Amino acid sequence: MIMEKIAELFIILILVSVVLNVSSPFIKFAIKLYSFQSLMLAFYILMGAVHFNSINLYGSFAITVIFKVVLIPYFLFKTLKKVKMDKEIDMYIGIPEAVVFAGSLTLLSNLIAQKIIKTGITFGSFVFTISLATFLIGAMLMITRKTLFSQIIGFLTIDNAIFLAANSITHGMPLLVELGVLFDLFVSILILSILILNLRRNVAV
Amino acid sequence: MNFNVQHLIFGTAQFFIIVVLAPFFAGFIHKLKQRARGQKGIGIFQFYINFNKLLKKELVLSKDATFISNIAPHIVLVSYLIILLMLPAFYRYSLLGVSSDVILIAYSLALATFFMTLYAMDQGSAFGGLGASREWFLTVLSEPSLIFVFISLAIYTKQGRITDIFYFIQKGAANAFLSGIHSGAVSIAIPFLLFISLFIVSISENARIPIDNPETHLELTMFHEANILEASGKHLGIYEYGSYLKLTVFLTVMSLILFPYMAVNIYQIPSALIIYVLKMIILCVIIAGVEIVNPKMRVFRVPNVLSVSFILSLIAMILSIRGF
Amino acid sequence: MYELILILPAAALIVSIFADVLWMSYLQLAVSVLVFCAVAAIALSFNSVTVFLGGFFFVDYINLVILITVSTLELFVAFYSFGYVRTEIAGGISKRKFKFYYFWKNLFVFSMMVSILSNNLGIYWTGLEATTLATALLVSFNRTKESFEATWKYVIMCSVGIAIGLFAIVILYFTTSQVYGESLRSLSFINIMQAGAKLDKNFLMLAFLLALVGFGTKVGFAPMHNWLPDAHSQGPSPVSALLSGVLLNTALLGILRFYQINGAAGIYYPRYFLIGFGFFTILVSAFSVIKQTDYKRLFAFSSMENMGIIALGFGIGGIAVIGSLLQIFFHALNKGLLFLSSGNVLAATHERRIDKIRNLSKNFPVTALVLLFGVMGISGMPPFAMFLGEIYIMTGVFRSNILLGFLVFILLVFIFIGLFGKILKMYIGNTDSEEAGDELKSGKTAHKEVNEGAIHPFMVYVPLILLLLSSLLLFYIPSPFLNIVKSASAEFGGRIIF
Repeated sequence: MIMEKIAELFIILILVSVVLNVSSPFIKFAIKLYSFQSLMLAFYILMGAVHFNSINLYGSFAITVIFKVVLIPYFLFKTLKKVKMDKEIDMYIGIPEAVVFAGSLTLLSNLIAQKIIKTGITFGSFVFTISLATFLIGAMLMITRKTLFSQIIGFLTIDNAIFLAANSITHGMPLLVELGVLFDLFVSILILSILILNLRRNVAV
Repeated sequence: MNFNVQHLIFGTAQFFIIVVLAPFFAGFIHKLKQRARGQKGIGIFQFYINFNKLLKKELVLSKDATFISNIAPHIVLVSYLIILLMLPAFYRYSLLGVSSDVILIAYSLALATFFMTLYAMDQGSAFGGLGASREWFLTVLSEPSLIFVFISLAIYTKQGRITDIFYFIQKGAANAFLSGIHSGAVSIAIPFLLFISLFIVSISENARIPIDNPETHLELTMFHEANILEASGKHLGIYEYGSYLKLTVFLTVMSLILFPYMAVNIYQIPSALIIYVLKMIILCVIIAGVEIVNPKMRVFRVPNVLSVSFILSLIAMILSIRGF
Repeated sequence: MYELILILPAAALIVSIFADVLWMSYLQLAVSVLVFCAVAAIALSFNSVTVFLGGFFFVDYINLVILITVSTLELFVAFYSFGYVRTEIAGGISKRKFKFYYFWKNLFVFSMMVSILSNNLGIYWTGLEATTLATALLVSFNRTKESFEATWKYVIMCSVGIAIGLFAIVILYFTTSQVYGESLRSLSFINIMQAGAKLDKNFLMLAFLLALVGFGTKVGFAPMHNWLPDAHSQGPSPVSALLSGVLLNTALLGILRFYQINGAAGIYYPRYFLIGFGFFTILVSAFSVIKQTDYKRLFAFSSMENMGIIALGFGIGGIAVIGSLLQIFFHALNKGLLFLSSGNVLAATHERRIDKIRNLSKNFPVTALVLLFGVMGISGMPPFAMFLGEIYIMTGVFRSNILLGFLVFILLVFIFIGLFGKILKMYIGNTDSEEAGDELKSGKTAHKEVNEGAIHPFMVYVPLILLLLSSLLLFYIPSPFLNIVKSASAEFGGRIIF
C-alpha cells in the first residue's frame, strides 16, 4: 500500500523530468535529466520488487541502474565533450508552446489510458497514463528540436516510457529479454555517438 | 457550524500569531541569504523596526494622485488579511473557515495585485506604468497555475473550503499511514506535483530571485519594486507588510500541502503550532537556498518556467479527476 | 542440423576478426554454401514444426520460406562479395576496412537468422534491433557526408520504430501472462498460438496495431518510409541487396506473427490495416519513383512497392497469400540481381545519377542486359518468376474488390513506366539533346576509361545466374518449396486452388 504510493511519487517525477526537459534548451541539463529520470524509473522498479518480493524485478532494477543511470549518460557526456557543440538547442516552436503542447499530450494519453486499462491492474494508479504521456512527449522532443542530441534524448525518453509500461502492467519482462533490450539500447547509443562524431567532422551538427 | 467560543478564541489567536510572525519569516530568509553570501546581515527582527519607522514617517503623494491612492494600500492589506483569516495554518477551525472557498482565495490575491498596480499608475510616474505592466505580465502567467492548483486540490478531495480540503487530506494520510486503512483519497504524487507547481508560482508572485530581485533598484530589473517606488511613509509600510503577508500566505498553503497537521482540539494546539513554525522555517530555508543557488533569469525565459508550473498543475488536475 | 544455421554465421563472425580479408572471402563462400545446404536439407525433409536450442528457436512453414530466401540470396551475395572485395581493393580501398565489412556482414546475417528462427518474441525483437545496429556501420561504409546522414536517419527511425514494436510485445506479454503466468513461456510464439482464443481481444488488437506501426517502420510502410531510400542506396551494393531483399522480410515476419496471433484469437479485422498500409505504400512509392535521379534510390523505392504488394496480399487472404509468399522469395532474388548489377556500374563509374550514365549497352554488355531484364522482372513481366507472385496477388485483389484491383493495377503500370523508362535511357541513350556540353564530355571520358573488364568476373556473372534462375523459376518451381508455401499459406487461412 505505502510502497505503491511511494512508487507513484517516482512515476510523477519521471513525468516532471520530461516536462522540464521540454522546457529547457540546454543539452547538458537534458542528459542529467535523463539520468535522473532513469534513476526514478529504477526506484519505481525497486518499489515493485519490494512490494511483490520478486527476484526478477530486483534484477531488472540492477541492470536499469547500470545501463540507464550510469553507462549511457556517461557516454553521452563523453561524446558531448568531444563534439564541442553549442550549449543551447534551436527549436522549431517556442518553449512555452511546446510545454503547453506536452500538457495536452498528457490529457490525450489520460483519455486513451482510461479507455484501455482498467484501474487496479497496474502497480500504482495512472502509471499507464504517465507512460503514454512520456512516450508521446519523447516523440515530440525528437520532432521539435533541430540538433541530433535531442533526437537521442527523445529516443531514450521513449525507451524509458516503454520500460515503465513493461514494469507496470507486468511484473517486468523476463530478465533475459530485458538484458537483451538494454544491451541493444546501449549499443545503439554507442553507434549514434560514433555517427555524431563523424557527422561533426563533415557537417555542422 | 455552530457558534463556538473555543473556535472563536483559537481562531483569533491563530490569525494574530500568523500576522505577527509574517515579518519574521521574511527577515529569516533575508538573513539566511546574507549569511550565505558572507555578509554580516541585518537582524532577524529588522523588518519589524522598518515597519515601525515607516509608520512614523510623513506621507507624500503625487499632486496627480486621486482617491485611489488613498484607498489602494488599505485594500491590498485587507485582502491579504482576509486570506489569512481563512487559512487553517495550525488550527482546523479558522475564523472565516466557513466561507473559505478556494476560488475566493485565488481572486483575493488577484484583487490585491490589481489595486497595487492601480496605485502605481495613479501616481502618474513613468516607472509606475512600467512596473504595473511587468507585474501583470507575471501575474497573468502564474494565475492559471495558481487557480489550477486550488481547483485540483478541491477535485482531489471533493471539498470546496480550504479548511475542509486540508482536514480531509490530514485524515486520509493519518488513516493510511498510521492505521493502514485505505480510505481512498490518499496519494503522495498529486500533493507533490501541486507543491512543485505552487513553489514556482510563489517564487514568481513574491518577487524572489530567479524571476525578480526586489533588493536592487535598477530600472531594468524591477518588477515588484517599480509599483511601490512612489509610495512613502505609511503607504510604503503597508505595502512592505503586505508583501510579508503574501509570502506567509503562500508558505502556509505550501506547508499545509507538504504535511497537513492541524489541531482539532485544545490539546493539540501546542504541538501543531510548533510543527507549523518548523515547517515554515524549513520552507524558508528551501526558498533561501533557491535564491542563493540561482542567478536572476532573463525576462524572456520566465514564461518557460511558469508554463512548466502551469502544466504540472494541469497534470495534477487531470490525475485527480481520474479518481482513485 | 538446425543449430548449424546459427552456429556457422557466428563462427564466421568470430573468425573474421582475426583472418585476412582475401582468405576470409574464401571462408565466407564455404560458410554460405554450408548454410544454404543446411537450409536445403531442412526444407527437403521438413514435415512439422520443430523446436530446437531449448525451445528458444523453432522452424515452421512461414519462417522456413523466409529462411530459404535469406540463405539463397546470401549465397549469391557471398559469391558477389568475393569479386567485390577484390575489385574495390584494386581500386584503392584499404584491406582493414573490408575486414570490418565481413565482420558486420556476418553479424548482420547472424542476427537476422536469430530473429527469423526465434520462437520467443523478445529474442525476435533483440535480433531485429541488432540487425539495425549491425547494418548501421555497413550503410555508412563509404564514409561520405550523405552516407552518415542516411545512417543517422536509418538508426534513429528504425530504433524508435522497433521501440514501438517492443511496446507491442510488452502488451502481448501482459495478455499472455494472464494465461501462462510470468515466465518465458508467455513470450513463446508456439505457446501463445495454443492459448489463442483465451486471450483478451482488445489488448491483442492494440498489440497488433503497435506492431504494425513499429515493425512497419522497418519494413518501410508508407508514412514511416523516409529512411529507406537513403539507407538502401548508400550502402555497398551487396549490403543493399541483403537489406532490400531479406531484411525487410525479416521485419515483416514480426507483423505476420502478430497477425497470426490475432487470427488464432479470432480477430479478423487487422487485415484491413494490412491492406490499407500496403495500398498506401504502393501509392507513395509510385509517385516517388517518377522523380528519382539516382538509380539505387529507384530500386529502393521499388522494394518499398513490393513490400506494399506483399502486405496487400497477406491482408486480402485466400489465394493472394500464396502469391505473397512466393513474392517474398522471388522479389529477394530479383532485387538482389538489380542491386548487384547496378553495383557493377557503380563500382566501375563511381556515378550514382541516372542522367550521367549513358550507353551502358556498349561498355557493360552483360551487366546492362541483366539490369534491363531485371527491371522487367521486378515489374512482373512474364518471362520472370515475379509474374507468378503478382498474378496470384492481383487475382486475389480483383476477386475481393474490383475497384481496388484497378487502382493497384494502374499504380503498378505507373511504376513500370517509371522504372523502365529510366533504365532504358541508361541502356541506350547515347546523346541527349538536353544534356549540357561539359556534362556530356565528362560522361564520355568516364565511359572511355571503364568497362566490364575492370571488374571481377564474379561480379558480372552472379547477377546473370540470378536472372536465369529467376526466369527458370517461372516454369519450374521445385515441388518441396511449393509444398512449404502451400502449408505456410494454410496457416493464414489461405485456400489453395491449383
